[in-house]
Amino acid sequence: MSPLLAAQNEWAYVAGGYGVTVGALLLLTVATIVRGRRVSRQLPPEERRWL
Amino acid sequence: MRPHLDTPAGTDAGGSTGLFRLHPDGTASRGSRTYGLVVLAGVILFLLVALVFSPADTGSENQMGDMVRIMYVHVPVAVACYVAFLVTAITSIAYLWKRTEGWDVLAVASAEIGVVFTFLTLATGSIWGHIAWGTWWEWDARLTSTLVLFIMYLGYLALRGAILDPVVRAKRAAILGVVAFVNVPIVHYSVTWWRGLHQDATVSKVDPSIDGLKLFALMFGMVLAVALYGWLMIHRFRLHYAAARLEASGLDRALAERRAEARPDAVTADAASTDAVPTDAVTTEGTLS
Repeated sequence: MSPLLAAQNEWAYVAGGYGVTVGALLLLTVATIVRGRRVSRQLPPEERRWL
Repeated sequence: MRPHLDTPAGTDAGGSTGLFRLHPDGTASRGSRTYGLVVLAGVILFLLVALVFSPADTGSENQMGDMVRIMYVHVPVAVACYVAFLVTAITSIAYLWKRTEGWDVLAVASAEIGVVFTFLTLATGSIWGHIAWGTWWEWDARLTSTLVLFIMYLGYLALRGAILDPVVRAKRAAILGVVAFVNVPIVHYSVTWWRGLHQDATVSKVDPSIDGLKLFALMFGMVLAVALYGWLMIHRFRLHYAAARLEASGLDRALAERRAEARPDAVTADAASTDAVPTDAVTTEGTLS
């Protein structure tokens, strides 16, 4: 394999690693925010102690 | 009427706009929003440093080339998962000691985030291993013990999902939260105790094997991963706190309904017993209450 091809191959793995990490953390963040809104909506505002 | 319905569109109760605008039903506060924006800016800066500004690894004995960039996320997510499980263990001990709901909520919030970080540790490690070792997976001591750690905390979450009684669930989960943490030092020292494919510690020694911008990217990644863990903890704690309050109010409502159903029977029993033997009325009322 030529050095250029090897470097491209390495970058594909790097992109995969960063994609998985950023994607999973983004998914967790969005899920936390959406579920947080859904659950706290059912709670009376006086019980939302963070407000 | 709920307070948020009185606020004008595009503003929160405090009148903030743009990125600082808080959703009226969300788990964010002004402080957590500011914290989140700082972390977001840090993530953008980190990606620039890790993928653009830092050089490929050509000087060290390992010669990892561009693959060294995987280390800037692999090591930080592993550190964040250690921190998450340490917090779960500490808050589990605190729950067993104090028996207050807040410690249990903190423990589960931290365990959930820890499981995601452990999954990312395994995934990024596997990607690195495929090009460095030529295999996606190897039953090396570090990899195997990390997989066991992941499965143990999945079990912790499954246990919580399987028990309905909040007090029993909190107690059993707290015991498992403490026991499962024993595996964390085993994971960390596995590269020292057993020889395998996984490399030794890169940073946690007196003379680290990387330096300059590469070391900065790694350290910055670690700080950022812990900061992100902190932000997620704030929101997941509030989410679980709200869920626990709803669960408690649901139980209170169910108890009140049960008492309301039982009360007419008690009145009937009382009325009937006044004509008969008085001690029966006491027994019946005692049973109902």
